[in-house]
Amino acid sequence: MGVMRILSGLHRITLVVAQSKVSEGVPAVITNAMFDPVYERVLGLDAINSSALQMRSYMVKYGITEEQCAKVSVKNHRNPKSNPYAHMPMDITVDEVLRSRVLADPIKLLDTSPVSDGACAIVLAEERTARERCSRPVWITGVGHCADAYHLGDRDLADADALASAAKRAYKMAGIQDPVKEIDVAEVYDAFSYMELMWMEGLGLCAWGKGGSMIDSGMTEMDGPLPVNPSGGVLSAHAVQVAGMARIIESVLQLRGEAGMRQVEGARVALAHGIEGACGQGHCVFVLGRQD
Amino acid sequence: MRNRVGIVGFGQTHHRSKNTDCKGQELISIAVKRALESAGLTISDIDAVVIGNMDHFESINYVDMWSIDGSGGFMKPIMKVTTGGTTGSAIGHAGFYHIASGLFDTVLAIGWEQNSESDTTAAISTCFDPITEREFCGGAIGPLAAQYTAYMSKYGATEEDAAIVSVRDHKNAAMYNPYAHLRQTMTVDQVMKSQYISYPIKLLDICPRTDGAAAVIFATEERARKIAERPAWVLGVGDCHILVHVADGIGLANLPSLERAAHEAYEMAGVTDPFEQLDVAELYIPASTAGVTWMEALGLCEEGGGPRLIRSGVTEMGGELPINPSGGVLATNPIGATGLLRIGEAALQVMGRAEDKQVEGAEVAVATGFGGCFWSDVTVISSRPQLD
Repeated sequence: MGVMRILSGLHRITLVVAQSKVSEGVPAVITNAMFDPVYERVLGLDAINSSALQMRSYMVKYGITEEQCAKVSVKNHRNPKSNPYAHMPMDITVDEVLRSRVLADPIKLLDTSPVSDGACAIVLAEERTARERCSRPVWITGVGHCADAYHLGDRDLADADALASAAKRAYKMAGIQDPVKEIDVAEVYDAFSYMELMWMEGLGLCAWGKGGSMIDSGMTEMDGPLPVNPSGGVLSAHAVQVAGMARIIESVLQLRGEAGMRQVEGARVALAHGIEGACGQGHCVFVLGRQD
Repeated sequence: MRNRVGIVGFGQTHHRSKNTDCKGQELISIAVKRALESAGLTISDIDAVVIGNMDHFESINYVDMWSIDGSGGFMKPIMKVTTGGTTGSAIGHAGFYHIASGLFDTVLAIGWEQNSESDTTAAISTCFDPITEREFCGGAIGPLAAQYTAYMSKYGATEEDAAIVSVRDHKNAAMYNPYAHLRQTMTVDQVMKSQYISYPIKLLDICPRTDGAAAVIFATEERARKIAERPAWVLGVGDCHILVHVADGIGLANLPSLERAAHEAYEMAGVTDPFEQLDVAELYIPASTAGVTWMEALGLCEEGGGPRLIRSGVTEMGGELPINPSGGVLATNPIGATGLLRIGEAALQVMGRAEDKQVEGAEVAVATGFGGCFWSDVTVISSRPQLD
């Protein structure tokens, strides 16, 4: 909406704000209320156990292992050790993730993002104002969003079709033809460890079903060719309504070279991603570019 | 030059206090189908969807996701907008910005509410500060009652002035609008004798709680001209969110947010003399008292001139500037849809498609939204792509 207000030519500068104080609510009750009140809510579905269904479905369809998912958790708790804004920087091992308490099989405690309080804000401006007021503006070059079917049974939970569609829109607008080559750093919405792998497939940053071998290859590590979630992502800070915009903020810091110890050297194009609803029913993708 | 934005379709449900024969998604689907039909489009022509209602009301979280079977938004970009009472008008403005940004060509904007499934006052009370205000400012009626008390004291207005507004809007609904929820005529005397809810507001001064949905289709200039013979052009939009704490009391007797939003929308549309230039108004008047106090904020009369304007009869059907030919909010209030109904009804007027409630020769219309903590949205719509 902020982008649309600027693009309409009616507003020069727009402030976009998000806040979330999850500690004052009961996430299981709140996320239970996203399911159908008549047929599904009584089953006790919530964000965690519905995601467990998705993780299982993803593992079965593509042979992804719990170890591979655990590696995401290890990476995204290690990366934020240099991020002062993160909620849960930690040194953990794959073994510790695997041995952590099962919340809803196959999801374990250390596969899961924390309950965080937080707020964030960004300032958007039209091109001329941005150039006048800011020495290093970052440009929004592409935006896309899309939503899939509501009932979990109406979707193939193992494939993020709506994300593929959202990414296609964003890439087209940004003029990106080969996302793997052109994108230097990505901040994706990893509410659970397996999600980072699935969303990378949906984003076209690795082939369908290859999220597991991608994490094994080290491609998304800080020293890999496409670092993912240098900030620690959502696994290390999950103020729900804030976490998507935080991905944009982290991408901006990367492109301005202000990401401190988590800086990806020479990042010129960044991708930020957010989800909505159960098991990523809806997705939003931003492509951002550096001033040249 | 800015991108022009047209309205090419509008649909609504037959509004009721309780829809026992369908659930929320079905209500939405009825409004969407009627909007598509009115534009001669199918759901595959729609590029994006904006949808909203009052948060908390039906206890459904992520309404944008839940509603897909009714909205037709499967595998489309969907955005949820929820801004309290202004939700409907904000959805309309979001639809406008979707097109004005150049990102989309044809956009479906949907507002809905199944009030019968909610505890309305409890839900609205959550918008007041939990520590300092929720105890005594709960619900929507209290602040409006305080406003009219202040207005009466400042300008000498009376309870009868408000009753006249109630009679007018209910009469319009009864006579001209088959979709309206309350279709009953009443006299000033009956309004005056109805039970006090919160002094000086009485039962027949206040809007009902309604189950219903509305859908409006927005399009780019190129698409709009192809779809509709006579599209309605959105010439001006203004939003103003002014208060967080009611106790701050900014302009309690008046409505500064409406004044500012109207100023913004009028300026963008080129409206310099609203009373002369506007042909019809669809106003979010949640209590008859607001139909007196807010007229000056819209520039329709001088400060404190609300009673004189209402009593002069110019706002009746057949008058110089008919207000709420549809019967407005006093007759129909599915909250998340209410502001969007104003935009849809205003569009019908300038498209010449308002049927029994048509104001002859209407070319320029204004629609408003109200809610939250005295927030306002204003939209100027015309059959002409620009005012001279």
